[in-house]
Amino acid sequence: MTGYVELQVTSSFSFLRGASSAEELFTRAAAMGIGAMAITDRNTLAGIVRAHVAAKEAGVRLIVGCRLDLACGMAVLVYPMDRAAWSRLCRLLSLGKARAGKGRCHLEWADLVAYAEGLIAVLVPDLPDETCGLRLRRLHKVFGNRAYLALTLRRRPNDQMRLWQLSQLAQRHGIRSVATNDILFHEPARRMLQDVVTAIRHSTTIDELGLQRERHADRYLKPPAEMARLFAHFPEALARTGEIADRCRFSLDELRYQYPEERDDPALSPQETLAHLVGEGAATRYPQGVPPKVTAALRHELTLIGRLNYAPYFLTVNSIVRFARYSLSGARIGRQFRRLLCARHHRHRPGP
Amino acid sequence: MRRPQDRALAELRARIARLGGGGMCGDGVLPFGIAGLDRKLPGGGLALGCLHEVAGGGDGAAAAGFAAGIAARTTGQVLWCVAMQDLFAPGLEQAGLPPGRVIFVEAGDDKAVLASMEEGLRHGGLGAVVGDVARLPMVASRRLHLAAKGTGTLCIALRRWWGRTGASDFGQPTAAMTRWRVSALPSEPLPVAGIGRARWRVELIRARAGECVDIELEACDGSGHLGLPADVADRSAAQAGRRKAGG
Amino acid sequence: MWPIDRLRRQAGAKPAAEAPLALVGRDRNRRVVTAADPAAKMLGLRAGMPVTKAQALVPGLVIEPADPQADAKSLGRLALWVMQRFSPIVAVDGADGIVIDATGAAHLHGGEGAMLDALTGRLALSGVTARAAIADSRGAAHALARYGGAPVFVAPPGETAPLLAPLPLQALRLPPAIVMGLHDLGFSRIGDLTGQPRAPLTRRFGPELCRRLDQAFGTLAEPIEPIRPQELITARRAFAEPIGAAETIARYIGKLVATLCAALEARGLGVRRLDLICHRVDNQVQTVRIGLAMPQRDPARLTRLLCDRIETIAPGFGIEIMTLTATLTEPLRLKQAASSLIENPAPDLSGLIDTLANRVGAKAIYRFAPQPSDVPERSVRRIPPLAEDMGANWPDHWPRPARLLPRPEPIETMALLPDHPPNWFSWRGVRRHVRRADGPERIFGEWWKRDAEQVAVRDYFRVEDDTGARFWIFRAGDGENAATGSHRWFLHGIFG
Repeated sequence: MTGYVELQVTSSFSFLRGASSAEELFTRAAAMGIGAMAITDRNTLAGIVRAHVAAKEAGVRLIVGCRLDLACGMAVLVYPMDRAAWSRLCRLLSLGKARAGKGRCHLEWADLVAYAEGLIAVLVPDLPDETCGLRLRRLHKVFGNRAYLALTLRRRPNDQMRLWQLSQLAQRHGIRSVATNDILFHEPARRMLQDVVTAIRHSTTIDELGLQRERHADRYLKPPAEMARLFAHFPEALARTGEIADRCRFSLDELRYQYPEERDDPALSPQETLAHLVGEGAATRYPQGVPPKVTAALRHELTLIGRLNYAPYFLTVNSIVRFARYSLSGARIGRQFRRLLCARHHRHRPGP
Repeated sequence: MRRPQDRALAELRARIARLGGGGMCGDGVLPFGIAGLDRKLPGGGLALGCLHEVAGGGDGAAAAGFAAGIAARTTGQVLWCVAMQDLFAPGLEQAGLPPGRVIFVEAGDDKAVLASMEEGLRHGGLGAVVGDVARLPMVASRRLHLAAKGTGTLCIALRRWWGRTGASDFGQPTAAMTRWRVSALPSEPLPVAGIGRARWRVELIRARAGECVDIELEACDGSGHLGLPADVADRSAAQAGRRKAGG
Repeated sequence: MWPIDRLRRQAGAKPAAEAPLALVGRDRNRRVVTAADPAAKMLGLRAGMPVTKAQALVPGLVIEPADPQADAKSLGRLALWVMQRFSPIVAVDGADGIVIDATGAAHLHGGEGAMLDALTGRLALSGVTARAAIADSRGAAHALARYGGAPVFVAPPGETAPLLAPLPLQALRLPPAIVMGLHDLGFSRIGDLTGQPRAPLTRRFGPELCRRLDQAFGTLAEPIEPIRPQELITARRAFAEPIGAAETIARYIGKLVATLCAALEARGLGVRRLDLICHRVDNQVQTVRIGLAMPQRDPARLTRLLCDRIETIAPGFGIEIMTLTATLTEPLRLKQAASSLIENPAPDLSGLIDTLANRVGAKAIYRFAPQPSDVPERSVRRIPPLAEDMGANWPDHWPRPARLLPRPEPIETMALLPDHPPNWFSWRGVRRHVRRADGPERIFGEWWKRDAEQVAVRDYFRVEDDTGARFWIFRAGDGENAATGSHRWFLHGIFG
């Protein structure tokens, strides 16, 4: 258990909303002793790469996340737990952006439901009213034990009462609550810049901005001790930040260059498919039985290929040969070409 | 337990009021929506077209909220006359009076406030006329009452005073139909830190042709209506039940 | 200087504001400087200096010909503008001044000081720098405005003498010859003359000197002849026998109003400002001015508004002439009668507003409207009472007190930092024990308005004491960072 983890942070990649860059955020988080932090930009994952680099430099673990602002007004923070979920999230965002055009994203609840597997969802509530109850119910139905409710201090009248009512409501619907700070900038002095970008976003001057300013106070990073003091009545909500952090272990490091799929049968891994094809080919080449020398050589080479993870490459070659054979059948394939192919093809067909 | 003489006197008073026309002004009433309160008022509510007095401790903030709630439930513009302005419009809005409905007159002294109130009442076309006055002499109150009757406008005199001299002046008789005192009570405790809905002790300490009332209520909500605190409602229901069982 | 200001206003930006400007006229055969702007004056230019000397003294001097007639006409128009807005009795004073009779007009503008500030401020907005003073007599006001210390000055009633004493003799409006003669005799200030015997001075200088002295000190009346522009609609009545009784005055007011309204109707106008001027037998004038929120033409309403103020007219030995002028008129819009028989039209309150406004001043009648600001004292603003209701209100429904103190009052208290409410506090000598509290509500200053508010924070708490009274208190500062405020506590409002 790592202590308090900040799960709701808007970086400058949420255009004209966040006022601090990822570098500033992570440096400050490290200085405060926060062990892990999530970046949840609005309807975009654009800031994750920068955040990943900044987090590494600062020595803080990055939890990948995104804030989805759905068309019905619901706001959900989602965190992929593994690589598959990450892909799903990317596809979900692509779907939304393709629908809405440049710079916008249109997503409905039904879309999120379709791509929900492997995602942790945290609802960002407003007031503890009927709408909130409805959303909690929906969330629980789709996400089950991966659903949470965010509790944030607003520094406005009857704050403690509001949080208490929200946590009661969440409990009634079988959802656990988690504490967040809803960060917009990394230190208090950035508030002015945040006001200015809000003014730009609304296309007005700062004098005319009025009540469109961000009016809930204290949106800067706080050390874990301070968060513990502020949420003294909700210790479980604080602890659950660590719990979510532990569940979301996906990191961008897991993404590497991925060789394209060549398998016919997705149930088998590339190595297994290759072994199968080799077995088939050997049986065809040596109808009387494969000689032990060849079997040993094949086994040795297959082990080597397995260790170096080259199976997909050979499968590609197999696909090319197959294609060549079937589409160019009847035509004479250049000898050299065939030799080349076969030499690489494991000396299965060492014939002419 | 009421003595037989008190009951007889109350009945006699009611009969005289009906004959003399000093009771109901004939312009209708504005009920509070709280049964315990409306029951005790002649006609079942606050009489329109009459002068009413409200006083309250704590610098008159509770009285202002009470008056705002009443004015909010009338229809039409409200004229609010003060000597010096210290009302805060968002607070009045939360008692039910949106800013678009209230026209303020900052008159400078009591005499000018009373004159402006009378002018507003005589003109008519307003839902209510409210005035902040420290002293309300009998003559002035009579003029206000007559002017209110003339146009059927509700008139509320908010009595605010500083020091002991003003308090004694409040005891003097006036021509008001009803005289109220509104004071703050501790609000209901919440399960966490915070302040719940405010509570008032609303006392009707004098009424022409009516009884006195002393009741604990919740402050005006956004529509100007007072509320019955939950525990008080339960208590009275329990009492009623007991009485029935007793036969 | 009036001629300089007038030229600058007309020409717009043509004479560059930075270049020194001088106006040149003829004095007998020479070309001399008649007026210089402050920049030129600083470089040594004076009125009366020959032009050649001036040009040698100030390189780059911009010269424009003086045009006294245009100056005078323009000054007359300015006087008319002042009359329409500030007082019915206005006249041009000399070549560069305006004199106003402010009796009875000052209270409608919020006091004498406020009226002068409004006047000079408004003139400054149009590019006219002005000095102004109010005093008991015309002579004293003239002197104080031109030679007194401050650009805007209000002389308290009855204290004219000590204020006039240090002023130079030119302030008395004497011809230059007399002033020079007095200088020769060793008199330099008005105070020097006050104790002197009158007879020798009159013998030496003529009656003019003593007349001006008496006018300055208020012993001799000096009536102001108000400008009477031709284009304003006026109804006038002269009386063979001076009238004085209130009922007679009221009757004739009615007749004048009827005539005036007929003239207004002929031109399709309604009146917004109406001046009644009564000329008495002893040459004093008494005025009544009424203002209306919307242009009106209804004789009954106008008569009533004027007769309301009859007690302010002191007829003295009798009124000879009564003039009624429509100082400010606007085209009258005829309102559509209620189109539907079912719905009741909103009752017309303009008559009530007009009556009240003429009694307590138009500024004292208003409605509140929301202003989008977090800072509580800035979240309301005043709008005219009959302005259209936009239906705007304060969003969020965060609890706000019914009474807000005009200035937050300091209280004694103690509370744990950084965000705990206090357990007790003492206000106006009464100590209260806090039973319940809510907060803090953190309200940030508006950093774009004032530098001092860049990091300023107020932490507001709603507290309830033992008796149930609820107060709105705040601490200036967030409890952690000393730069965010003084960390003193104040009481700002009281909840109902």
